[in-house]
Amino acid sequence: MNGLLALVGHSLRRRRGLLVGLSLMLVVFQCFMVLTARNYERTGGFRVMAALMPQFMSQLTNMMAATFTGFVLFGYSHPIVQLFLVALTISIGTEPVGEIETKFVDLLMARPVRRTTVVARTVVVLVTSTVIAVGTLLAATFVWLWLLAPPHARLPEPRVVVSLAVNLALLVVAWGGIALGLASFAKRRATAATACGFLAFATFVLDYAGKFWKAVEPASRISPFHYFDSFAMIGGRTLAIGDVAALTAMFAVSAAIAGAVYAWRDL
Amino acid sequence: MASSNPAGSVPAIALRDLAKSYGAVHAVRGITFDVAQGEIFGFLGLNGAGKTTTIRMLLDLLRPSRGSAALFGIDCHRDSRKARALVGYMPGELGLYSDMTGQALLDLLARLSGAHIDLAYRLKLTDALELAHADLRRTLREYSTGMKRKLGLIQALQSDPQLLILDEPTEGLDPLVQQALNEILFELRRRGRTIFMSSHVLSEVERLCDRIGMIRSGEIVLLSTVDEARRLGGRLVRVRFSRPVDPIALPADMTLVSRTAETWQVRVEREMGDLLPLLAALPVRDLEITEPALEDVLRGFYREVRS
Repeated sequence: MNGLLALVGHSLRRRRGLLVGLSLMLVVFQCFMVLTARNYERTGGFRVMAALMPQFMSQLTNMMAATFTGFVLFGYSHPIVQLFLVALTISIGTEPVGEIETKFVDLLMARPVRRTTVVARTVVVLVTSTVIAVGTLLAATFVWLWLLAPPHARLPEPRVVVSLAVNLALLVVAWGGIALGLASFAKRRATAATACGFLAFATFVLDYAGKFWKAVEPASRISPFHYFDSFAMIGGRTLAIGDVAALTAMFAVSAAIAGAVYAWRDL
Repeated sequence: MASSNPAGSVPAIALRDLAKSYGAVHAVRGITFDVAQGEIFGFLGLNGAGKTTTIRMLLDLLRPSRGSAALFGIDCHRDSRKARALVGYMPGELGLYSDMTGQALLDLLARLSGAHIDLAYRLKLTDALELAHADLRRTLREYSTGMKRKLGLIQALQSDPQLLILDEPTEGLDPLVQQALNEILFELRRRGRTIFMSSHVLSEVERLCDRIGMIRSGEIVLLSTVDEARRLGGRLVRVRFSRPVDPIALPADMTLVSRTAETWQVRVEREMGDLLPLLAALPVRDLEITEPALEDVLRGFYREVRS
């Protein structure tokens, strides 16, 4: 336990700059979204937006993008936000193979440390970093709404915002687990991270295609992004147990594979 | 290759038919030997001979394809954590994070070792290896190669382990620090610690080690005490005569290396006793016996593989 805590502390300390930077970016991003939504709300911009919005977009967003609530919460489903969070977890998930590549592992594993402790460390850091990043986004949403929302605007329900944050966090953690699992077979961190990034992009596109093209919809179920339907949730749908279970299972299976492979492989 | 355990107790390191292959490449080909507790053992070989692969199998970083390794009777794979708890290791290639300070690295590795770290002993090591205390507060990107090697040594030594495994420990160190390290290693041996070190510096091996093992293309080709290994080179006997003498027939273990009318140089590979009766009948004025240097013997082994 002492070894695990030491490794977790070391790993978090090393990426505190990245975490602080990403969190600040999310705070600024959310401020920008609330300010823009306030402006549209005051000038009637949402009515114009709804009229101009192409049909596929209205269908995709459940018409929610053209409302104050939908716009404020758009950050939770925005590809840029998801991209940054997934990139963060890929960098964390590939840390063990990075340690093998740089030979730092020789210093770590010459001590009485279990190989599974290294994987457990990554899991703890993944979850902690995700909670910090998504928690900051969640807190920023409430704070900016409290400070900047126009008096008569219909504010998002706290239950909806929290559900979105939980689902987004599960999606991000699942990607961290997948990165950890894939990286356990790799010799080089760059190879693992690139493969994982490409996979994330491909499955993001697959999920998008599945929303519009019925023939692709069954295949899109393999995409982790399929289990985060943000617009449905902004529209009022509660957090789906199936989505939670699917993302948790993806994370758990990937982490278990990583644990088994790291226990067996040459370091 | 027969194993040997001079001290007779549980060996600090016991390798039995230890092998590691990567597909068709055989990095280590079934090596067997022991390192006794309390000795300094030099593990020699050219680059790529299998030294680091063997060391990394001892630490369970690599899994053997065949055979076993044990530290103080504890299996390096099945009971790996217990075995590693007894070891201080300095890798040949130090993988360090440049954004960490020296102090942070030592603290992290101390916590992971699980053993009590005597900070006074750590400071003593820091002083002995001439690493300034202020340097420990600097990030590793500001460290020179020599400073990183010193830090590598301190992290291996700081928990005062039963067994030290040092991969090329003096590489990158200046002669004064090398001398300081030698003194530390002698002190550790006096306290019964075992040291297993790989090195290319043969003079250093000769000065430090009790026994040596040489690995060549993954196989142990020499396993002996330093004195025995030295003798393999044969002693050089220079005989000066008071008047010119004719050549005589020498036994098989003696070679006439050079000859003038009044001087011979004879290489004697075994005992000197056989030479003396031969010289008794000759007008010998002076005898000079030169002990062979270990370096010359080992270079011979190295050349054999190159050729």
